[in-house]
Amino acid sequence: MVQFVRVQESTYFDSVTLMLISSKLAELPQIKEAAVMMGTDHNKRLMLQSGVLNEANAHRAKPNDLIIGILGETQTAVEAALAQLNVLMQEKDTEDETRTTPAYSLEAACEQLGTANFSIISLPGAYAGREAQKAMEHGLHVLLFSDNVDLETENQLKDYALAHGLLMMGPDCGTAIVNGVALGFANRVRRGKIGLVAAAGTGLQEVTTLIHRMGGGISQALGTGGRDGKDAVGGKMLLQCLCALEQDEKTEVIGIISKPLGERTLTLLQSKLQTLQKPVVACFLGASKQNTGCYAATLEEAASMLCTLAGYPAMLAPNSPFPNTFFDDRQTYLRGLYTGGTLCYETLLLLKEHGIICHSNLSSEFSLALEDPERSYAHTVVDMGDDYFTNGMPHPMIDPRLRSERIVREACDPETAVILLDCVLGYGSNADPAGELSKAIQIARAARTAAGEVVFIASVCGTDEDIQCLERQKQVLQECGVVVAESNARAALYAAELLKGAYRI
Amino acid sequence: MIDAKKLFTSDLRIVNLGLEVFHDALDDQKITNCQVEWKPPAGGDIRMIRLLDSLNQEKIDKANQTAFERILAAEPELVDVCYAREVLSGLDEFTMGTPVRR
Repeated sequence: MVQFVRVQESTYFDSVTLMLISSKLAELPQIKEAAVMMGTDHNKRLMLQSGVLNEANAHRAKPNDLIIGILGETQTAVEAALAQLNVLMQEKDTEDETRTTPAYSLEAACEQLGTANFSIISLPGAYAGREAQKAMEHGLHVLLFSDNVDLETENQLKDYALAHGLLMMGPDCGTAIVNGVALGFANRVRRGKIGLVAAAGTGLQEVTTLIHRMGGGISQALGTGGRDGKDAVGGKMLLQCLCALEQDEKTEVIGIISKPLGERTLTLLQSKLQTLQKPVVACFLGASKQNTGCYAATLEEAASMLCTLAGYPAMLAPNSPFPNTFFDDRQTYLRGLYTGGTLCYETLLLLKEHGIICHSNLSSEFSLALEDPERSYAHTVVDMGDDYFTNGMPHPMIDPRLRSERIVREACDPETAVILLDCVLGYGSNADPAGELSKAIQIARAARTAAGEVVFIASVCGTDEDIQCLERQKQVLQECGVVVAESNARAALYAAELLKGAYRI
Repeated sequence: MIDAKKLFTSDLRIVNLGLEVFHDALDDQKITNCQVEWKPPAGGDIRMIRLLDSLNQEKIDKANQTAFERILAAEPELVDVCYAREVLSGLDEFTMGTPVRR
């Protein structure tokens, strides 16, 4: 085995760029491990563990140094990887050079733009809060995509935002659409009368895309980050956003979406909703059933209620026909592999309502803890966007490899009957997620030696205007025999029905 | 309170700090934006960043302004040309400018 390590001083690249480069290198023949990372303590630990870094270099590298570590079977393989690395880095450089004068700081960027009014911040969590604060001091509204920003910082940032009339979306806010502009991981949707605010990233993607597919349109879709709904933050930004949508002339109907809320926050929001000057629909996933008319049980129901209130058709394409399924006697379990946290949550909730209690790495009142996220047990639904899987790896919406491997593993389990998947389109996501899924599914089918066939069920979150194109993605999945449901909720219900009602051989 | 009318009727002009996929997405939507070539400040040393942030920038700006005004207000007059170390105390052959305390 040949180990190669190089520390390049004061060279900074963002983590997604580096992870994509790393995974391209790791795929080369005779390369066992390859990692190109910034020299933070965390990264150094990861690299030491995987054997691509030695103590001496680990000691030397500082947080803004770039570390290249390659472990190959032969010297030639390592050299080939280095040559490839140079090519990838050069591509990156030419890309950067085609830009106008680079700005090296937030202040310089503001100056270059003249009248900047917004910022998207996706830096490592330890530095992100500081830049968000600076951005607000320059009068910019902020979408703070970064996670790992501590609670105290979040509260400080949001208090500052409230005092200065600014939007502080996040930390850990993945999605927003402001004035028709998709920010972060977001889809291209029609503009219209429905304004949304959400403490649930993929929940917002699902509702905005479903509204578009039902013939409706979005005025604004604001995110707050999941923790905003917890009592430690107390719905500060959710309330601020509700007020903003209430004042917005183009917003005629308001929707609010969240994962489980803190008790006090829920009460606070409910009293705000009662006095709201515009019709409202609330989808508080996991909150106990409400008797007032404005509460939706699923994301699809929220989209449909909002469309009805706003006078849109509210029609989704009908379900595709149910497949005739014959399971083997041993095939008893469902396995869900999700890239979207809120979608995963909604699935757990719906399955529980239909008597299927799953194990999951996502902790909720409706599921049992999954001890080892790598190993499914009985009915299991995994959120693969969870920290456990994204530590040092790109998010599965960007890089599908981890999920693809897991699909094959689950399909080979004699006990697996149904595999439930999400497929999220839009900016930020993989260029062809359905194509990647279909490759994995074909490999999985070929690899299964146990009796009975596994049924694959998926929903695609996206629109015909997304760069990946909804129709094309659905078609790719259907061509490889996947049952494609029109929404995540329908996919989960399909799975539940199939498990209960399928014929047994 | 957010000025909703102002925010929701302006064209967004966006500063992007971090992932370049978001910059590409904005370009694709033809939205004016600026990607910051960001590097961790102070070599990524969190303690040093805190120290730098704790400096009173207002006081520093004011002192700089005063110094600058004094320079502008002075009327320099050429009297001689010689080595700084010969006429200013505390300078040696390695230091130029004001005395440096070691």
